[in-house]
Amino acid sequence: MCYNTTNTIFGVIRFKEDIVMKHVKTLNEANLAKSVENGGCGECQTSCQSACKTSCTVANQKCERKGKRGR
Amino acid sequence: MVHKFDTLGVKCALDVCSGTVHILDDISYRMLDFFGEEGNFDLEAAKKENCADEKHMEAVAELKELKEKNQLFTKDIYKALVAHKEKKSVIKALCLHIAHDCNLRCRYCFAHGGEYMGKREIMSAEVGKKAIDFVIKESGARKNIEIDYFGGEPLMNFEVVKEITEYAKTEGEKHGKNFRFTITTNGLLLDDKKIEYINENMGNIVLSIDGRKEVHDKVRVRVDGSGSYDSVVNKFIKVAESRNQENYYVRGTFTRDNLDFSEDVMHLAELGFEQISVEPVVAQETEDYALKKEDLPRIFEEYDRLAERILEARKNGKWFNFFHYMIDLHESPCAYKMLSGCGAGHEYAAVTPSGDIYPCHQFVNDPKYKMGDVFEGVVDPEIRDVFVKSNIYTKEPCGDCWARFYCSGGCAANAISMNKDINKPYLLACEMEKKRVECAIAIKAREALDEE
Repeated sequence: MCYNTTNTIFGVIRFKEDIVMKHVKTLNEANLAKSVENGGCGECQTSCQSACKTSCTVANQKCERKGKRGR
Repeated sequence: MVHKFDTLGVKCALDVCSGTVHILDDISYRMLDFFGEEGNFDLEAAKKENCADEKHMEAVAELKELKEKNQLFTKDIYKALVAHKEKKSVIKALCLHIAHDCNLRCRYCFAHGGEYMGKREIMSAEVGKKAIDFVIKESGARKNIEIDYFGGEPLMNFEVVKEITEYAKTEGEKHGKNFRFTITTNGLLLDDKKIEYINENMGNIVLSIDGRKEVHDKVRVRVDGSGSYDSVVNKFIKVAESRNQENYYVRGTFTRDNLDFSEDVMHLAELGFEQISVEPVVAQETEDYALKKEDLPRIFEEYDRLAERILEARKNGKWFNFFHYMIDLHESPCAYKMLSGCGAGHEYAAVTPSGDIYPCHQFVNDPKYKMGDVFEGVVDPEIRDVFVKSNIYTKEPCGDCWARFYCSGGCAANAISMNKDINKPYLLACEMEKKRVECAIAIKAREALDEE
């Protein structure tokens, strides 16, 4: 089977189609949808316990199952 | 939904519902304008704007390819998770108000000198132990439990902190719970013995310092009005070094009086701190130090400036972390977490010195939000419901906001305090949060491009 690789910075994304990315570089392979399958354990830190206490920033919290959640 | 932005000289497209970030060249950045919400390309519109030659169409093909691969224009499929979250939510984190008293009188303090509009009092070991029993019972199957010793100033009641900690460790072992402790302090009463105990027992310590001496001393004053910078800065350096520059934060607040807050962050970095958080003050607009809508352009400029200074420092071998620019683009918190945020009132609660339970530290002593007490050990289901049922789909502006998964709908306390409605976020904070997320992503993009 013929694969082309995208001009990806982290890791390699292989596409079956004959497209070579010249205008776009993909920074990550995040897939929030995948986290639905193995997420929701509730063991992670409550965001206000880290440093803030007056704002709400969740994206900078660590996943307790980092590396185990799969993609 | 796709959000494109040009920050720190990098053009990015964020696919909101997958979290994928793409770095675009000028042509692909322009061509995104001809894609609709669903990702359909409008060729006629592109032709009208003279954007349909070979190069343009090459970029369009790439963007379409990314859509095919679920990396662009993905759909929001998470609403169904809300019910799961509501059902499974249990209290697993407590903010223990060890002392409603403080040896500082910071001008911006939401606790009003540590008293929270109530009386000066300290928590007894008995109340603290009841709180531990309460969270062990409430947390159900959750293994990890967090306790934050807060105030007022918790070091004014440190013997009780130690007694509660030892009790929690013993009880945790009995019940299969892993307690994680944090303490937040202004540093005045820190000494070697306390540092040693904290380092041995607590996974995190938050050290309150606002940055430059003149900025800090203008706001963080003693009862007699004198500044506290000189009394705490060396102790904080000692704490940071004794913890190997990990598992702590120096945490400051910026106000309208120091909109050049990147200077404060850099001051802290120059002192050698590697874990830094400096946050916008939350205050009613009637206060002279409160941030106002007209300050936003200046604040955005300063966030850009800070991001550039962080990149430059890191290039020169001086690494430090800024709390609000931390972002894990590869393995973010899961969708469940990103729907509902901090968990105030259903995963997280505050306990006062007398044992009363509130949804979080910012609601303390507001009688409408008293949820129960640790002696009865039950929480008011009606109040809990207000919080557990609030999420990015119930908050009015969040449905259309590209940043909704990063802030998870914002701070419930701020929404209620500013707009009297948990589902009406404090929009000034929203604007700042969006800017910080753009900067955080742009930093990652710049670092990745530099590595190429």
